Amino acid sequence: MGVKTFVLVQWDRVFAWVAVALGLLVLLIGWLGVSRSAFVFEQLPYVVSGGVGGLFLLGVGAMMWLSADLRDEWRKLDALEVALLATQQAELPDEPVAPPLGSAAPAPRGARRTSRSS
Amino acid sequence: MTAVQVTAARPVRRAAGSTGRESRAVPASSSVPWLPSDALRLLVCNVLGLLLVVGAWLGVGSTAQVTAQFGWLSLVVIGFLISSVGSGAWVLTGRRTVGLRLAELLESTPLTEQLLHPAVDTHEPPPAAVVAEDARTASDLLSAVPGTARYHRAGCALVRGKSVEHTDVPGHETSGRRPCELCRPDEGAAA
Repeated sequence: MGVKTFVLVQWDRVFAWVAVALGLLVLLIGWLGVSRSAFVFEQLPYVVSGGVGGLFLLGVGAMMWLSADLRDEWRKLDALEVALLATQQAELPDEPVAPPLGSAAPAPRGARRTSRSS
Repeated sequence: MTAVQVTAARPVRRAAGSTGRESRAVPASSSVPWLPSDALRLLVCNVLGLLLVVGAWLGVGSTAQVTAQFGWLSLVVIGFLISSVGSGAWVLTGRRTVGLRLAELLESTPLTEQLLHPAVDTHEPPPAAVVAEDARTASDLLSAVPGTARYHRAGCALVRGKSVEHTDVPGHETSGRRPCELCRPDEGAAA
């Protein structure tokens, strides 16, 4: 599987990893910004953009990763349901049930009915 | 049987509502455990949260007074909470929908009932002809998966689809196997 195919198939997990990586990067930038200033009024913008922004991106990444897992489970349930229905269909009797005792013998295959019951 | 027939026979899935009190129908063709309204709620919450965070960041950066900046910080917290609630509701709704569908699948499987309640026998006694047939089957066609400790009737769900070997009761007992508690081949043989 090539990289392009992997990205197309696992786009949600790729998005999650990108969001997590960006979140960590933003957190790092925010920490660097805060550490280079001695004034609170200069640090607070970094706290908002770097700290909360980084946490926001980490949250989005985690949410996308969990969504990908749930989507996988949903696909597995799809396959399970199809297999279950196929099994149930295969277990149905494909031969005609034998008539009860005392009834007329079944007509041979291909024979035409000559009388009609009222 | 074709895949089209199987797909057409699929029941409508029921997904948990956003409040957990009502249920909504998920289309059978849906490939995800969410409704469009769930996606819309996620989008609105995250966009609103992001806008609040960005707006608060601009507000914090526009003033040098710490007291005014802390006012903007409350807006940041609100935005982050809105985004978190939206994402959490998205994941929880998906988990609940997957769980409900799994429960429906398990309920629709007769094997589940047999496995959960193997000792409860609520069936009526079979006709004499069936008992005789079972006795013949139990004495002639008892199956066992090689390497396992139980032998079963030929139609037992626990050996269905598996590679089995057929032996009579003495042969199985010589191999150290005991009768299956689900299909009870020993009772059929006794009858």
